[in-house]
Amino acid sequence: MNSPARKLNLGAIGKPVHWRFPLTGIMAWSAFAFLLLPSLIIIPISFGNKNQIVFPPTAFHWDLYYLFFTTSTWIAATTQSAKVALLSTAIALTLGTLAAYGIERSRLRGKQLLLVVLLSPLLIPGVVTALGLYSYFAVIGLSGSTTALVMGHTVFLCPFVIVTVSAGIKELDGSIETAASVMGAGRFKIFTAVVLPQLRPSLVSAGLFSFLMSFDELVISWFISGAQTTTLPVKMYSSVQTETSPILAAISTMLTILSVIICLGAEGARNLRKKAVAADS
Amino acid sequence: MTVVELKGVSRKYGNIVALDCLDLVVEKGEFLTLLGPSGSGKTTLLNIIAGMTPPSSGRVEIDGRDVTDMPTRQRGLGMVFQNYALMPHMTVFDNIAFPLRVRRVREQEIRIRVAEVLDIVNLRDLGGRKPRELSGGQQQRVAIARCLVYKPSLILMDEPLGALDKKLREQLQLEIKRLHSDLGVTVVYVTHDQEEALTLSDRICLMNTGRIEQLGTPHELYFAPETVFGAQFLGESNVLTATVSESSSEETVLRCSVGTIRAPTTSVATGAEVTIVVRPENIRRLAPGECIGNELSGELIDTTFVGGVTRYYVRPDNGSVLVLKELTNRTAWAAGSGKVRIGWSAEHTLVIQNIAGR
Amino acid sequence: MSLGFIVPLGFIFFRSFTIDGVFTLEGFRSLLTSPLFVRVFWTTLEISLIASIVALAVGYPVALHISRQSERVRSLYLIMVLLPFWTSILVKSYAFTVILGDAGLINTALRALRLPQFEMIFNRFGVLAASTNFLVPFAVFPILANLLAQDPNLGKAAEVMGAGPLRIFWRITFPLSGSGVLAGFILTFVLSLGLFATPALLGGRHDMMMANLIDFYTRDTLNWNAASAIAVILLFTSAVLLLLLNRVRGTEKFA
Repeated sequence: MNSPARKLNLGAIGKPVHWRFPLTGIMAWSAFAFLLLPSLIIIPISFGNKNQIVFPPTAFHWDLYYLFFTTSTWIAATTQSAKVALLSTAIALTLGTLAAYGIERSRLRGKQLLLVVLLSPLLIPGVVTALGLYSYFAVIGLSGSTTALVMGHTVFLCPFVIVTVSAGIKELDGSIETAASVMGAGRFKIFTAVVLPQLRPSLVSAGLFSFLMSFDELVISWFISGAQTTTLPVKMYSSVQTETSPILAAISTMLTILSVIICLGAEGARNLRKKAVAADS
Repeated sequence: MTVVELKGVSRKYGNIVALDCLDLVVEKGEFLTLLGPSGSGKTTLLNIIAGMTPPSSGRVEIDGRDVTDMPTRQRGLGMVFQNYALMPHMTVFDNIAFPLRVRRVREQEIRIRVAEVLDIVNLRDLGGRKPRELSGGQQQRVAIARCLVYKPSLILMDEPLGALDKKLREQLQLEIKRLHSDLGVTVVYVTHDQEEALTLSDRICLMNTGRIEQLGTPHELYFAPETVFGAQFLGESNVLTATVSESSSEETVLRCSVGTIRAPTTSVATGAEVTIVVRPENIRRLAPGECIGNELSGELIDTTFVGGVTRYYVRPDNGSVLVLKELTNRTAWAAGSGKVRIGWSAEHTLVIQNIAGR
Repeated sequence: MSLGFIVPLGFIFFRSFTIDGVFTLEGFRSLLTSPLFVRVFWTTLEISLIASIVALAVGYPVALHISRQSERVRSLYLIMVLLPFWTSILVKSYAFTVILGDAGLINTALRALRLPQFEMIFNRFGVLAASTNFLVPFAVFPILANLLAQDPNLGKAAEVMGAGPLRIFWRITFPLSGSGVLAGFILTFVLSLGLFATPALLGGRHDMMMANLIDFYTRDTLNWNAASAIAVILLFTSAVLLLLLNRVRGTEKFA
């Protein structure tokens, strides 16, 4: 032990000073309550009085659900939403998957720019897209038609499908495709026999959430649907102010349950993939 | 004076035993290396000393105080991580000042102390830089300076040079050795690199499957391994199984598949099954008729030339392949030489008792 | 396929600069001098700013708490953020009208307790409450991603050096999460600029936001030129902010 130690002159340098701070958990749980309670509170109300909102509910009725299922306009709107959601999900899934694969596996120079353009509807305000589609369909004479709704929703869903499927493609081992091509498989064969089966979990999750997004979509539908093609959210939106009966509580409950089912379904698909990966290794 | 004392420390993860009832003492000013393959428990042991992993049983003492239940931050230790763990948003100066600020040292004094340690690690003018503007070696010096600045009684180093390339690693090894001897700090160092352990340590604690395989100076571990694992982990070894056929005060005679082997006198009883270890660098090529204690004849099956060293692979007439290592010279045997003679002196035969369970 | 998006946008640009097919800046000029537009513009900025900041304040502890859990527990907590995230905004807004309304849960409870009641709906408070609720998950995700990407050894190193949890948070975790917070802010801000259902259901006359004004011009006054001009302004503002977000993401790597 020579000079530097002495030069440093390091003695004991006191005790660390600090406090405890256990608040994070409390704050996080308050936030969870704030996030979840509004939708949960609607559930008991949906089984309550059918003329006005009473909380806590004094009785248990299925009246509001009965009312919903016996009112032809509500049923028509629900059917319309399901139809639009199914069709636009199918189209967006097809187009989006092809686009995602094309982008991920190409070495195009404009790849980045193309991606920005393709994904921008995900973030720019829905009302801008809605107004654009509205003026466009007005010009080509499709306003108010189911075709217009399906096209509009497809535009709205595609970026989401691309993002989800691209993430799935990024996880794939590209050398498997190279191997297939070395073995003589053509591009189409590789895509259908090698890529798509591996992408199944991403496709399931993209499809489920696309359906939900379309089924719940309000702004675009509000602008481009007509009296005969009203979707469920549009009917809900226009009836919030006018409807005296809390029938919306029943509809909201069912929509929330749909969200839960779809989330759980997607979670299940994700776990299946995890298990498949675990079984492989 | 004892800095760290571990008494019967165990750590279990479910059914997996990471550390198995381990005792260890680290003396003040000592450089102790925990050496072992991955999964041997060396990092778990370091984390138990640091207080980041609680032991499942046993006690930990630092500076004579029982710290088993004391949180990490109160133990007054220093630690250097493999990935440096420098705060990316703070300058070099602020990184080094951090432990002093925790201790409420006056800013004026902080400036003096930080300047001093920067001087010690040869980074005098880099106090204003951000860590990402430094090279890997410089970052690790900052991490070391950050430990030295508050003079903890013990510095833990968790594979600190693992992320650096070979040349830089050797350079920093010398620097750490210099700092250790100059400053007289106590260091517990974790590595899986045997050369690093041999270079740096006062003592090496060789670990395997959660137990201490052997504890001793680098010389003891290299020249007198107590277990086959030790012999194979540090340096290269030829391993043979043998039976003691004769044991006298002058020598031990053993019998194995390649014939009779002579070894220095041991305490092993006649008839016992043992393992014998011979280092490749102790085996020599023999000229016809030459006798040095142990001689074998066999077939030369391969020769590899590794720059300054040449290895020969010889299959004895009755046994598995032995390796011998020699400084390269011009009289090397060519591959396909057929029958050759090799041998080693009796003092180079290491006899290792077979212990149940190892 | 991207044409499906670009063509409609082209229509907006075309309409915003033309009236009856003739090029003009009249749309923008009259907007900027219209007290209604100017008021709505500032209202939108104000609501977006407050709602984003509150959402970040609510979302940060959530992200922090989730980031400190083991992987198994973390996915359970994540479900509690993802469920509200995937619940229809219409449902959430409706729920807030039920909770905050004059005959709503809170006021009914206050009445039962003989406490003074509050007007919490058809005013700024209602819009902010529901908007914040909608935005919190969007604030949680980027912050959580940032926190999870932080080197866990930094906290350990600080702990060995003697730092307590509060100091580790304020000196290390929080400063390092800056880019995540900024990304979360831009994301929530852009999203709130486009809010449509929430201000319509929970706001009063003075809480109209830009999306509602576009709707008003399109539907009630059939002034497509003005509606398109607002959409262009909205689009432009969002685009600038999103480019900013892209740069924030680019610099995130150093952490």
